[in-house]
Amino acid sequence: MRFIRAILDSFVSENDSHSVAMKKAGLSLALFAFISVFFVAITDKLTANKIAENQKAMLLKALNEIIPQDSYDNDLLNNKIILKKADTGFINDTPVYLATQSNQPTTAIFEVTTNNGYSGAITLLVGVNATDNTITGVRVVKHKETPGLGDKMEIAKTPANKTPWVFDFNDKSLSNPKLERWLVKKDGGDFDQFTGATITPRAIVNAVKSTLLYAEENMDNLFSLEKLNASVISHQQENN
Amino acid sequence: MSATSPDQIASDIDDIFDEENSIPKRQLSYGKITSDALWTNNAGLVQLLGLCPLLAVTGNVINGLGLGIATIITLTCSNLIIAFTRNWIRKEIRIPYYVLVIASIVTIIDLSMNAITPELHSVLGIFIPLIVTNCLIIGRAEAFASKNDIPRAVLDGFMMGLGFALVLIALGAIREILGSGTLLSGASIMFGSIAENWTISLFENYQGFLLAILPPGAFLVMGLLIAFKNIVDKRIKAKSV
Repeated sequence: MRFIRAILDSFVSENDSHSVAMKKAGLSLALFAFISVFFVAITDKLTANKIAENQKAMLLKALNEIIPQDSYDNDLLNNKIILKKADTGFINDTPVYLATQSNQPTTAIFEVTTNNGYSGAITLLVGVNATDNTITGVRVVKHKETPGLGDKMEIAKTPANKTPWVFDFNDKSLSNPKLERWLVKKDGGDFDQFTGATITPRAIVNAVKSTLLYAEENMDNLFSLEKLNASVISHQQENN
Repeated sequence: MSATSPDQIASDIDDIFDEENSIPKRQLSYGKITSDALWTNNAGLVQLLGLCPLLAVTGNVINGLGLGIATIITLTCSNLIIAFTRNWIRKEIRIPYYVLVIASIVTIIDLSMNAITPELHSVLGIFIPLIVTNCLIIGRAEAFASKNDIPRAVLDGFMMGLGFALVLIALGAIREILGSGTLLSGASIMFGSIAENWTISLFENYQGFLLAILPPGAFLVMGLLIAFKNIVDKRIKAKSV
C-alpha cells in the first residue's frame, strides 16, 4: 500500500537510514495496533448490549427451571438481594432471587458457592419454597470438576434414560430426610454419590443443607429485606 | 561477512516491502498443502504444536470437537489477515504483529459468538481463550502465511486446523471410551436437543478408568497415536520401495 508508506515516510527524516528504518518499523507497528484496537472496540460496541441480554436470558432460563414461570409475577432478575458473606456463614457473597405472586413470597433462589469440590468452586442455584422451606430444585451453574466423573451433576451430562442426579433434591427439606441423614450414602446418609466421584456430591449435599439451614432461620427476613432493597434501588434510579 | 552497514539493513528491509520480491518463486500446490497439513506435517502428531490445549481438553469427543472448530476458525482468519498484510510488515516487528493479529481475532470471535450464538458460546467459550496459548497459530503465521499468497495461506490455515481437529477428536474418543465407557456424551450441549440420544454407552456398568481422563492419560494416548502414525508411515514406505 503506497499511501501507508507515504504517511510513514513523512514522519521521519532521511538523514540516518538506520534510525529511519527503526522509526518506520515502530510507526507501522503502532499503526497496525491502532487498526486492531479499532476493530476490537467496534466489535465490543456492537455486541455489548446483545451479550448482556443473552446473559440475562440465560440466567432467567436457569431460574425458571427451578420455579415454574407461572408461579410468580414479579421481575425476578431485579428482585435480587446480595447476602454479605460476613452475615451468613456462606463462603462468598450470595445473591438471592426472590419470587413473589401478588406480593406474597413464593420462592427464594440462592446462588450458593462451595469450595469443597474436587477442583475449584462449584456454584449452585438452590430454590427454597418460602412457605414450607422445601426445595423446589437444585441446578449446578458453574464448576471445574473432572470431565467424565464429577460433571455428572450437570443435567446435560446425564444419559437420556436416567434421571438427573440433582432431581434427587426436589421436595426435600430438613425434616425429609432428617438433618443427620443429609449425607451421601457412603457417609451413612440418604443421597447417592456417583461412580468414581464422592467428593463432588458430598460438597453439593453439604452446600444444599447449609442453604436450607440458613433459609429456615431467615426466610421472613429475606422478603422484608427485599422490599427495603427495592425502595433503595428505585430511589437510586430517580437520582440517576 | 563483515558487519552489515545500516544502509544495507535499510535496503534489505525495503526489499521486503517490495510486493514482487516477497512471494517465493516456487509455490506449493494445493494438493501438497492439504496432504502436508492433514498427514505428513500434522500439527498435533508431527509438529507437536499446541500440546497444552490439546492435552488439556480432550477428555471426551465433544470437547475435542469444540476446540477443533474454534482452532479451525482462528487459524483460517489469522492466516488470511497475515497473508493479506504480508508485504507491509517489516521483519523486525513481525512477531509482535502476529501476536496483535491473533489476540484481536480471538477477542473478536469470542465477542461475536457470545452475541450471536450464546448456546454454542457457553460450550466453546472456555476453549476460545485457550487458542491464544496455541503456538500452532503463530507457527503457521511465521512459517507459511507470511510467505505465501492469500488462497494458499487460507487453505493452509483451514487444513492445518482440520488436521489438528482430527487429532483432538481421535484423542477425545479414545480417552472417553477408556475413561468412562461412553462416546459422544454431552453432544446435546453442542448440537441441541436432536443430539440427546447420541450418547453411546459401550459397556454396561462400566466402572471407569480414571487415568485415561486425567492429564497423564492424555500423554499416554498421545504417545500411542504418534506411534500408530509412525507404523503406518513405515508400512507405506516399505510398500513403495
